[in-house]
Amino acid sequence: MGDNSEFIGEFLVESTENLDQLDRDLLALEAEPGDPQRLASIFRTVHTIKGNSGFFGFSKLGALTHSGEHLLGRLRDGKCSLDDRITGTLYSMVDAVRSILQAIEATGTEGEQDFRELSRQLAAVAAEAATPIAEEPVVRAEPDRTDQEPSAAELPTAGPAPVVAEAPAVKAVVAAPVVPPSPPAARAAAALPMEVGAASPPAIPPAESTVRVDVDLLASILDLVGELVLARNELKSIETEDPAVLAAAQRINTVTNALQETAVKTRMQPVDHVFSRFPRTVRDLAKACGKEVALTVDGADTELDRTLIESIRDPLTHLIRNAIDHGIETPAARLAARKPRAGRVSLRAFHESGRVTIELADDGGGIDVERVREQAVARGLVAAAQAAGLADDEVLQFIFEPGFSTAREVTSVSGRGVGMDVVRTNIEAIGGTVEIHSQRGVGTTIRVHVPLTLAIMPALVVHLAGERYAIPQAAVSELLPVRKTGGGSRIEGLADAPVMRIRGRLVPLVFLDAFLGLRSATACREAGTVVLVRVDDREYGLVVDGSTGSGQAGRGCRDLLESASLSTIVVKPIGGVLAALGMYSGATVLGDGGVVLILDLRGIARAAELPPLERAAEPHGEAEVAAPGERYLVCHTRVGRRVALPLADVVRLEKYRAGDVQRAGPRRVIRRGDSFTPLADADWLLAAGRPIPDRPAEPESGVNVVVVRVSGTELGIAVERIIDVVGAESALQATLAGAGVTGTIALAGQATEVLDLAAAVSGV
Amino acid sequence: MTSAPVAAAARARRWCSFLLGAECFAVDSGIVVEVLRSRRLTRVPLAARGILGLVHLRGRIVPVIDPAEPLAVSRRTGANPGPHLVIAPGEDWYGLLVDEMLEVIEIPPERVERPTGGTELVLGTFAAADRLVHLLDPERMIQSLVRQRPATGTRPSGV
Repeated sequence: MGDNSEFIGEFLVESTENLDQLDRDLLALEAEPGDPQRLASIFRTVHTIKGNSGFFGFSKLGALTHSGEHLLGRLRDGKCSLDDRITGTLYSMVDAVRSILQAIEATGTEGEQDFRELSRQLAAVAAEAATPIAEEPVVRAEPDRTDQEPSAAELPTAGPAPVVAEAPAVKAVVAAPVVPPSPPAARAAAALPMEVGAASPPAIPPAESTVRVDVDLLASILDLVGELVLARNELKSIETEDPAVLAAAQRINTVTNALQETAVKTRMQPVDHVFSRFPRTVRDLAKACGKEVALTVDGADTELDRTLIESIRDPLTHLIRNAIDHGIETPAARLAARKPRAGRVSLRAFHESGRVTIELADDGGGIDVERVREQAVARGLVAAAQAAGLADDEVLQFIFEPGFSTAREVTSVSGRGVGMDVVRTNIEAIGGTVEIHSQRGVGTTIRVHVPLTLAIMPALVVHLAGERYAIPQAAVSELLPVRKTGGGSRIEGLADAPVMRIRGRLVPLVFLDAFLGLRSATACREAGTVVLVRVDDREYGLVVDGSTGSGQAGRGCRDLLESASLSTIVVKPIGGVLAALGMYSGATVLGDGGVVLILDLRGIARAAELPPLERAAEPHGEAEVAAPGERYLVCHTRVGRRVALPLADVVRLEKYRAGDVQRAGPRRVIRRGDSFTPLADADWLLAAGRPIPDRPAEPESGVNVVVVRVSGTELGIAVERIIDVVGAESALQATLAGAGVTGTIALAGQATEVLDLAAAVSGV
Repeated sequence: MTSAPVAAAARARRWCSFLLGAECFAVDSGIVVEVLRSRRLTRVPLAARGILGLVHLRGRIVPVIDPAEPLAVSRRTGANPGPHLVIAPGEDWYGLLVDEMLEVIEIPPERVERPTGGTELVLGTFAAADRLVHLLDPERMIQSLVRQRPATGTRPSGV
């Protein structure tokens, strides 16, 4: 038996594939009862499984498939015709065979389940339908059949039959990958059954022009190709004028490139591996829901990295379930709405700007956007006033909020189901995105965009302090030069919360050199490049080195391109020690052999404590453009109060260590070269002399100071944290003025106190 | 120190020895992948101090670590950087920056003495003819690096 286990493994893999084919064939047969091609194919598959189960001594499987084969034989021979009952029984048989195979895979035995009842049913159905009927399609099928299928069932033993069945495949290997065995090939094979049988003793799965290769083996081939690329690069760098060497190097170059391209392709698989199950899923669901659904599948040959193929299976299954369960209406409701009785679900896969898009569209009832809007407000996801202003597509985004979809009220009314947040999470985990569009009464379309592969991706390679770093290109939206002065992209905050204004939006910046601890004084500040990235719901700018020619006037597109270059990189893991840092998602080897780290943009956003983009933030941006004068710097004080300072009065932002702050009499001052700036604490200003409760001690790391200048006098104001620079949304309300403040103003959706700087300065 | 590591040391017979400063260390030759000439390293900002950088070897990204850091020995100064001894203690590969590779030595288990020093990274010590050879536990050494605080972790503010 020890030797057998290997063959059993092959048998299982092969049979599972055959079962998928069986599902497809049964579906096709339902659509076109009596199609001789399909019947023959189904018969062959069941027969092969039966033969193999006999060989391995799986008696349950043998008995079950025997009954199934008998029924199929009668169908094929026109002794009975396909009806709902027969199809149902055949599906049950396929499921039973699948569960036995799963049991064999898991335990090595056929399992405890008893399928004798099913066998009896199969026999009963076959016997009942025995009345000789001569339905048109079956009669037409007769001549074809005799021509192409020399009655495997009528042969006395099971032995030679598979050989005949396999014969078309043998031809297909030589000719071209042919999915259904073509009649001419079959006919040719039928003419010489004995010869073909002798030439191909091992059973080759039907219609396969492929071999099975261990995934690890493919991976090591890819690695070796990578090594070869590096060796090629070394070769290229050798200077020689010997034409023979140059010619050979050129050939090696060409061949290496082609080899790399081919090796990369071995990772790709058609999405059909996932799609092929869906017709059956749709059929079963539709039956269970009492609906009629026609599924059309397009672009199943679109290729995707095999590691991603598995990751999209569950989310897609979920979406399909939703579409049928909640999207498509019952036949009666559809007729009442003047729609065709059967609902339509279409599944399409196609390439779109370097990614694969999978689109699932139904012509069902659509989503009740108003209901979603109400629920979003009820659940506190959005303010009522804001919700009213949102476009329908924006409202639909709430469906992806965790917990939202599980709400019964929404599910029963709007009909979009449980766990859409899980769908989105799963898709985003592989670097993909989901979008949804729906129109009440017309239908819903969901598009899932996934990268072609995770192992190979386009990346932007940027320079920083003598090293290079790779940024996944999918997240990059824009490259901007840092300008010292003038309009456009100027850095605005200075210390803890640097921001850049980009078309009315304020985007937080991360100075990568300082962030990674590479340089203390950031050189990018005046001549850097901002790489604008967007991950999840965060948008931020990574400031990296500009081109080598930076500092000269007239930096333009060319300089930007010099400072960052696009290349396709092979992502390699960096091991537990470094992955735990959360800053790098991997590393890659560039064409010149240099190792380059790939930045983990999510990890950086987290570590830099960047605020997530609020949905409400966008309108503020526009308000700022309208009134650029009214901008405020928002800070937190040490006791956690939120205060704002008019940006026009702010001179600079600084950070001082506790040691830099000196006492000069009763006052504290900060020393800057030879000059001293008086220092006040924001909490002190707000307290106006009263004691401040629960004030935390000054941090070791230093104090953030906003230096303001009011009527010629400079004053440093110590705060805990600088949050943002935002434009005012309302007028200053002086009626709410209190100690140390001039009033209250709405900033970024929150009422914020504005410090009374004039009073503060006069107090110094 | 329990006797378990000594027993572990006892199973291995051949040890790959190298110099680190004035001291001689050795790792089980069974886990040695390759000895590389010194290469340019890609440094890893924010990584633990003992992690010197990354090199590429046979399709893998290999972190190069400085064993002198966890072992607290002072490295030879002034000379060119030594070779990388690439080892595979588990799934991942690591490069050790050593000062000089020495010979592979056969050590009878009964001649391995329990470590005398305070470090738990040494499984035992073998008294060769001319020097003491400390037998390293590389997995522990790598683990101790993971626990370390990052070298450049104190991020300067944007000032």
